[in-house]
Amino acid sequence: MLTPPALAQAVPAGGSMSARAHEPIRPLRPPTGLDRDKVALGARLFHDPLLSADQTVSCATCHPLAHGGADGLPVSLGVGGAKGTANSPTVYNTNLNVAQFWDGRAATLEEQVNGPLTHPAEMATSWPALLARLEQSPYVAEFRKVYGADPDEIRVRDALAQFERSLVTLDAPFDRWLAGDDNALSAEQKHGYALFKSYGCASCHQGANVGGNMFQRFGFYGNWFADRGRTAQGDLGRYAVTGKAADKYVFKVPSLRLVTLTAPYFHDGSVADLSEAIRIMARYQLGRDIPEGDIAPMVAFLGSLVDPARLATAP
Amino acid sequence: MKRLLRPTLMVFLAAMVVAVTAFAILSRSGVDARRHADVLGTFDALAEAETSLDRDLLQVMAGLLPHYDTLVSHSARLHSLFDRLDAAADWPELPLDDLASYRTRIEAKLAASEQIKAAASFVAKENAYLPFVVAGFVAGADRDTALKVQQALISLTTDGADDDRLNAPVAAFATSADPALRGIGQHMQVLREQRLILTQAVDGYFAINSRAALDAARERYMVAFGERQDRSAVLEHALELVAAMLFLALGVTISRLGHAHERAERAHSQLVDAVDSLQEAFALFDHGRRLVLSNARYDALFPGHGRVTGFRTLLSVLRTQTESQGTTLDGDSGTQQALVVNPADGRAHLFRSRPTSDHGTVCLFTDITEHRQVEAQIRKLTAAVEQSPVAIVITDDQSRMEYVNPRFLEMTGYDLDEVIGQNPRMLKSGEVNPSVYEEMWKTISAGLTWRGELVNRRKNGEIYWENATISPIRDAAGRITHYVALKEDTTQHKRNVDLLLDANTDVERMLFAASHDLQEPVRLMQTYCQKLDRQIPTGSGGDARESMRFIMEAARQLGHLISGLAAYSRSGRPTDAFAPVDCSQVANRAVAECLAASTQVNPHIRISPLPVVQGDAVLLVMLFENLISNALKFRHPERTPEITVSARRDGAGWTIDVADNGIGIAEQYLPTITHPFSRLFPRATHPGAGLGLASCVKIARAHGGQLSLDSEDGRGTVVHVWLPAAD
Repeated sequence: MLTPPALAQAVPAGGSMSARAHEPIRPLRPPTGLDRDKVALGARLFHDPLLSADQTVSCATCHPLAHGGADGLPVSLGVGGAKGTANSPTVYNTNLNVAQFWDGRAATLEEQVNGPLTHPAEMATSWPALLARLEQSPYVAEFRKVYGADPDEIRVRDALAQFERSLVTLDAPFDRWLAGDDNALSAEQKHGYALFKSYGCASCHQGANVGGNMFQRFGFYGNWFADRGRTAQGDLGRYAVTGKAADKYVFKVPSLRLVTLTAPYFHDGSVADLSEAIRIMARYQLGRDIPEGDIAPMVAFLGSLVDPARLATAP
Repeated sequence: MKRLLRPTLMVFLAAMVVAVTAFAILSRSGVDARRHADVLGTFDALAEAETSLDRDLLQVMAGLLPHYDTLVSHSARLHSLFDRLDAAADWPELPLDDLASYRTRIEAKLAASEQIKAAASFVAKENAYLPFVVAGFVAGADRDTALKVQQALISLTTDGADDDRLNAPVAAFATSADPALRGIGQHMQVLREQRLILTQAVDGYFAINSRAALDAARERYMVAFGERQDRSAVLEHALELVAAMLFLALGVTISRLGHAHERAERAHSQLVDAVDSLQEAFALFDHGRRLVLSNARYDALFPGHGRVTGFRTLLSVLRTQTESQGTTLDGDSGTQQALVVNPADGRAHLFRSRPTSDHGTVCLFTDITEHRQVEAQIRKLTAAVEQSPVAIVITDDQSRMEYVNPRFLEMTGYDLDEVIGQNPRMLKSGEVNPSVYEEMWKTISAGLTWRGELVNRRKNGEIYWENATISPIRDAAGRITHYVALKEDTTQHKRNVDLLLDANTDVERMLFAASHDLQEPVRLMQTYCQKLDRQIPTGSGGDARESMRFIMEAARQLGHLISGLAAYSRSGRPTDAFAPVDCSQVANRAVAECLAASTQVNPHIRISPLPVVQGDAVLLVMLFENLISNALKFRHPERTPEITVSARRDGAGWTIDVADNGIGIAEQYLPTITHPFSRLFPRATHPGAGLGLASCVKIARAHGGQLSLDSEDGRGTVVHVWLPAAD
């Protein structure tokens, strides 16, 4: 009780690993402390269109688990085909994020549930309406069994968050390499990882989730929004949350764990091609142009961060 | 018992309440202890997480931390700890304002840490990149420019990023026509800018004194909790004390209850003994009319019904035995009174029932059988006394009249209220010699009965005589408590006797005088007739002689009469000279007299042994002489007279029978044969005055005896003379 779990994790991370323990990217670990029944109940809710106003859209509509946990659209289509304002991020490994949403407006997964549920362009419902629908459904019995009480806002959030915490993409080739398996990565991938570090990408995209654990400004060198000739509501980023001028164009650094599966890219899904996204990142974040020959190895390296074959069997 | 039970119950309840309260307080303090440990643990964890955050941020600034995952987990840890405190916010000891202030500071630190993370990662990246780019540029640049760039790089990568002297060269690089130098200049500008942000963020981060806020919160919490503990401790001690006292009180009460129970049992057994020793049959019923206590007399009261255990059953049994007197048994009320007689043994009981204070009923049966008999006896005696023709007076030992009967009132002429409480001397006439009273008092004071004659005075002043019998009445201890006097008014009797005595005296005097004075002329007649007879020559004067003989005969008869009358008058002479008389001698003298006077054939006279009686020898000789001469006089002409004198004991005296075999007496004459001058036969054949049997009756009566006859006509007569014995 007195020892925070974070510290318990920090000990193996700090020392006992092999030489690769000091790599900026760390292996993903199985989630701990989850309630199997609550996870199962959350999984049912996650896939149930009952959660949306007209019962056409479920969480899984925009976050299909077999497809990297994101829908592949620039912005998701909500109830009645309404267009959202931001690109759907993957639901995998989200527990490792410093906060949820591109602008980090939700500190926890429980808080995050509120966003898509009540957004008029997403599920477009409200808590009273949703709870009324749940009261009429077989979920009542299941909540009583699992929580010993009828469904309410806190219990629905908890079930969904528990389920999302269970969504961890384990055992990727890169994780096996980190664990000491030299054959887990191809030479190109190894070369791509070296480039990834040397260009300084790993200064922000680090940690087990290869990003997601910090905020950073988009555009140190030049203004991409000005250069492409249009700005949108979501472009100001974290400024919408904190109201500080210094937070303009600041976004949560996205995780690259499933980057090869979750095109299009950036907060508005405006870039469909990963190589192009890498070029933009290099120019506006690193302030340099990367030789075309270095891009392919890096894409290959990014592909080693996830094992797509394991996604369909994810819990 | 009830008085004792109530405080016991109160003490017991109070002890229970105290025990439950103590239990609640103890279990609450158990909860308190767990929460306290929880809160302290949370405080410790917060401090620890914050320290970890500080440490990792220092590593970040030193470029020693290759990733930020630990920072994220510290931040999440802090947030979850705050959530835990939020959940415990209802606990009054938590200093919520201090905690809120602490949380604000932690949020500020986390915000600063995000800036540090972003700026530090950029700075680290540029620090790695710039030297590499500058090295490439310097190789192909002129010396002067190369030197400037290298100097600027050194200043930037050491601590001189905020040196204003760098402003101009870096600006010059960034606007250089050479794209390579311009790139370097731009990187340097952004780096300077980010380094500045980093420095400010770090300064801001470490300027936040969150630890002091946490310590303050912890301090306040500890003080509040300590106070709470003190209060609980005081309360607990007070409760322990109260509980101990209560249990002591409970113990004392229980022991007192035990004593009270013993006393109650003793009292109950005493009650049972007392009830058993009652003369009355006793039964106690409770408020449900069920028998709770009875004695053996009650249990045996109704042999046909066994032990009657219900009050209503008892009443219905009693109704079959109720006598009409007294109150009848109505309904099933607790207050009853009736006289019941058990038909089985005839015993009478007075049945009484009364309600008790606790709604029970107590029943008593008093056996009044003997009492009733005595009462009947008294009623009879009272009636006898009340209706007695004798006056009865009862006085107390001080001679105050307590009771007089109606005859007394009639006799004295007083009313009842005039005599009750008075002394009988109120009746004194003064005609009685004081010595009589003296003797009377001497006698009755000695406890003996006094009899005597008193002369008293009626209310109207009239004098009267009374025959009084006065007896003392003694109590069980022999003390004289009352005197009872029986008084008979003898005034009239006394007058009659006096008159009779006067008359008798006159008659006897007259008879004596007549018999004495008449004898003289009769003797003269006889003397002169004999003289004449001698003067008439023998053989002549036949007729004259005949006449002379008739005169002589008549004179002789007259002489008989006169001597008979004289004898009769003598037979009633006063009898106060009685002495023992041997009847055998008397009878023999009488026989000798008769034989001397008689010229008849020799009769057979047999005299059995006769008793000695109290009497007058002269009279008794006269009695026997009369009877024997009668037997000879009225003999049967054809039989030799046989006379038997015998005696037999008869009650308090003797019956002397004089039996003959004479002519007898016809039955129709028996009732009058004893009257004076009664004769059945002509004087010629049976001479006499007709006074013989009358005299005998008179003599017998004078001796307190009587005379009767049994006779059969022509066969004989038996005369029975009853005389009181001399002894």
